[in-house]
Amino acid sequence: MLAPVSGGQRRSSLRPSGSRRNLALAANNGFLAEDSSAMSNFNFNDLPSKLALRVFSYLSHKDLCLICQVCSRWRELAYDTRLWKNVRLRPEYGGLSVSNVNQFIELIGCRFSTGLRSIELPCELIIVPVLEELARQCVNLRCMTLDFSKAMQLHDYTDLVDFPANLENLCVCLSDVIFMEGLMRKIYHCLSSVQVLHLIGTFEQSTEEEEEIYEVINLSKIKSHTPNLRVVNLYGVMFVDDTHVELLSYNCVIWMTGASLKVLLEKCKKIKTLLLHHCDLKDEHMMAVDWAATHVTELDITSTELSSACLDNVLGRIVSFQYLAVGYCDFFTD
Amino acid sequence: MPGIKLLTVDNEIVEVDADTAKQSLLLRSMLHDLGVTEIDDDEEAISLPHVTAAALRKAMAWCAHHKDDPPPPEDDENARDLQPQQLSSWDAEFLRMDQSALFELIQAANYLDIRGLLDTACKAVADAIRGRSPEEIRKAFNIRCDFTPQEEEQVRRETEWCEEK
Repeated sequence: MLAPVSGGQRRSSLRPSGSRRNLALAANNGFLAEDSSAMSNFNFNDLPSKLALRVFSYLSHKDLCLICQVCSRWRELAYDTRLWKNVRLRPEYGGLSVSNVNQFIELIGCRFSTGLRSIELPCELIIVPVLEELARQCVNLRCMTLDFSKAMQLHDYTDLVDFPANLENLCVCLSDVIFMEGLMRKIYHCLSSVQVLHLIGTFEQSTEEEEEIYEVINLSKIKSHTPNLRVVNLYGVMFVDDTHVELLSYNCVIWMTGASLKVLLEKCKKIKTLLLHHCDLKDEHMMAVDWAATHVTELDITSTELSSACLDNVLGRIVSFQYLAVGYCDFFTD
Repeated sequence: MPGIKLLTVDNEIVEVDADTAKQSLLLRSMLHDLGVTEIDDDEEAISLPHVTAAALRKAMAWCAHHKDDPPPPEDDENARDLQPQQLSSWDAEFLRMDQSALFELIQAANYLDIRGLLDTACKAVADAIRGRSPEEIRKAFNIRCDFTPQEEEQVRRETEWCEEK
């Protein structure tokens, strides 16, 4: 299949022919053990930058901080803003650990700059100069994680005048006892572009049950400053109750296909009412739920596009069915 | 099996299976534009000015083995897995070649636009870099350190903003 048809004159311009040692690259990194200097005439540094960067894109930032010491070309490549689009600085989640804050702030303008798309900050870096430098230098920053879960107290944000204003995805890891308003009141006006909000509570870390639960962040104010909010994740946030959910659902367009329903109903056995009107529900997700094991008694699937076969399947399995709302369902028959 | 003729930069004509060749998006669009379906003795070979015969044969061998693979997912650097990846044993064996040939293959895969091969080969090189000291890397890749002692000290200081954990 791959037979050469005619030999022709070999120009051998790219490399002289001759015996080459066969060195294993993939297996055990074998070629590192051998001295390869004798045979390599197409060197790594002959690769165009685009391809060298592609290789480096598979390396972690920790690796990049090491390989910049190899030679001047590798240094230039390793510092390329295209390799620093997503920066994670929480060592407990595999990110870098910043030891020199001033040096880090200098990097925001030169290393990250307009290339930066997402950043994760631990509480000790959520300080006025960092936030302001990010706001000024990194106009393409879309995703930001602010992790206060280990904070002992909130920094002073009185002087904060700038905050990234083009965020689409904001994640705030809350602490049980730190009230966020000191920061939030300074940044509400920068949140209008936010579409996805994650508030991560301390549910997983908490040990003592009877501790008092504080409402450390004001959902109502966030909601009123985020006209583009589409997705809200309140994971392990203990103060959330019905009023918060009601508040968030007001005026929200729900983009839900039901993929999470199975999990939701498995985890939350006590759910009795499911209001799914106008949801873009998919048959297969609905049928994947083990309805017989749930306690759902009320179901509203108004204006969804489930097929009749799916409805038969689902409704037959709900044990204690009391209420069903099915306005505007195309396939609803007896 | 319908075949097509390709003229490589080292002036060799390589005949390849048309279906295999179409995994290269470059060849696919060339064949489409030229309307070539079958090999014809009068047909002139398609010239590939950036690919050596050795690299082309290697690339086509990879394509032949992976012809039933699903197309690679959208290239998403944001979701790139930075952990060492287990190559399939076939790929690992396939990539047992000297560095020079491997870098040529990466260039060929890039020029021919064969994403799956490009990714696999780049990952393999990254795996060989990961976790090595700068000195080990220089030795392995035959790279000369062109820093002056002052520069070397400077670069080391530039990395001080984060510490190894």
